[in-house]
Amino acid sequence: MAYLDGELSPADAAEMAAHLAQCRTCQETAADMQAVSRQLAGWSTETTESGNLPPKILTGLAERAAGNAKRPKPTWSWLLTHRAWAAGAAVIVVIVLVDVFHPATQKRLISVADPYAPNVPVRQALAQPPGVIAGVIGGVVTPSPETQLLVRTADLSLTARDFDNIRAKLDRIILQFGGLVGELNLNSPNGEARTLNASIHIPAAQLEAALVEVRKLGHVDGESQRGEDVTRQSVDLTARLANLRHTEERLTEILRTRTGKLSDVLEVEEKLDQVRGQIEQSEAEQKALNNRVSFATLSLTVTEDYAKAVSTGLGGAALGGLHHASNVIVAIARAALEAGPTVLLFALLLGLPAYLLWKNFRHAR
Amino acid sequence: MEELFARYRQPLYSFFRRRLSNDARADDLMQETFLAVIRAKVRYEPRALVRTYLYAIALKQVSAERRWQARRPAAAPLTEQAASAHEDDAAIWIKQAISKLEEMDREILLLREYDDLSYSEIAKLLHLPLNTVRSRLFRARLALKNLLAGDRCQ
Repeated sequence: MAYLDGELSPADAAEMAAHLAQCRTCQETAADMQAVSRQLAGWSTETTESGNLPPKILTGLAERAAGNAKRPKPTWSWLLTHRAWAAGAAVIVVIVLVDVFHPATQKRLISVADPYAPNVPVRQALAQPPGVIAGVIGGVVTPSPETQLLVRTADLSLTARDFDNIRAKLDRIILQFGGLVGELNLNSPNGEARTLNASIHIPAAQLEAALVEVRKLGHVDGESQRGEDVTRQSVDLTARLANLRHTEERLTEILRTRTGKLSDVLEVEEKLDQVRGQIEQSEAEQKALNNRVSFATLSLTVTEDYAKAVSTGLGGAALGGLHHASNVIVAIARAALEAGPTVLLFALLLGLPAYLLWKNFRHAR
Repeated sequence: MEELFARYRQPLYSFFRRRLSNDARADDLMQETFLAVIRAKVRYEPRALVRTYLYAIALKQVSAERRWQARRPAAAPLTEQAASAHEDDAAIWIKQAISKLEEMDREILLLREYDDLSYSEIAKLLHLPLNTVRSRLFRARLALKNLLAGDRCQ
């Protein structure tokens, strides 16, 4: 039957034709099929009037053309007609730009970021230590009961305008007063204020004078000073040393006379070694203590000063709000950018076959 | 669009005429089919698919029309209608014979014999496997052979 309907491929059709020539049954069936088809052809329908498109269809065509014109096309005119969206986007951009580049905002950033700047300056004045012995610098201190030994430390925080020359100025001061740099750190983070942290040793007598000079380097944000009283410690040390030396002498004396058993001698020698060790230790301690007394330690923090303008409470709040808004916008943009490519990738991977399937399904219906 | 119309106007008209009892609707439905194509947002696809597309719409129209007519009791009975001058005895005889076939077989036969659709087109339109189309067509033709031959008025 497929052969009769022209549905077979040429090769199959040829095969079929060959078979038909021989097979009686198939010939009969073919004849039957053809007869039926001929009979069915007897049912004809009238021809409809040909010619122009009927009015209904013309209307439909016109409607579609109109509909197409109304549909917004993705061109510049479309953008212009959506002025609201454009305006909104512009506002957002302006917010972000103003916030980022306003100097007052930068100062706010800095003062929040800077842990070294205290809110209220602290100043504790200490009386000059009475009667520090003249021979302090570089020498061993021999205390007398009237003197007081202090280990002096000072903390100083500055905000400096002229940050570039700070280092040079500081070196000059240190040299001037015969000080030493214990430790120095310089931080220059991107987009933020630079900071300098230094631990400086200055001869105790010169400390006040040096501080005066250092304060001139910038605006003092905070200051504190401390004197640790180590007189007693020093006295104890000295007394201990004296005792140890005395013990040493006696033991040496005992060894010299060498009376007694060998084991006793050995014991004495051992004791002597011990004592000598203790003497060395105590001498080292005393030396360190003297160093600390003779050299005061200044911990200095200098922060660069960005600010030109002073913000009032209201202005600061407004800028802070702007800053928050800009943060949110930037965060959203970042999240979108970070997630964007992944979403696009999945849309392509999953969406394309899904769309094709859907189209196919629609057609099949 | 004009080309489409010119080419398929008559075939679609005949399509509707053969399947509906109400002749007047055939012309309307034929125009509706073209309108549906216009309104659909689908772009014109290559020629081979347009045929299937058109006939698919036409089939839907027919079933919609039948459902609608079934709800209206005043409609003329399906099998008999006022014999129009155009229809001769042969046509009536054939129509009767065909109406005795099972609906699916009938449709397959009509699509093959009168609308000249290929087996695969029929299969796609009616959502049937190709082999089913073949076997049912064969069966329908065999049945028709008997229906058309037997009880023939002289």
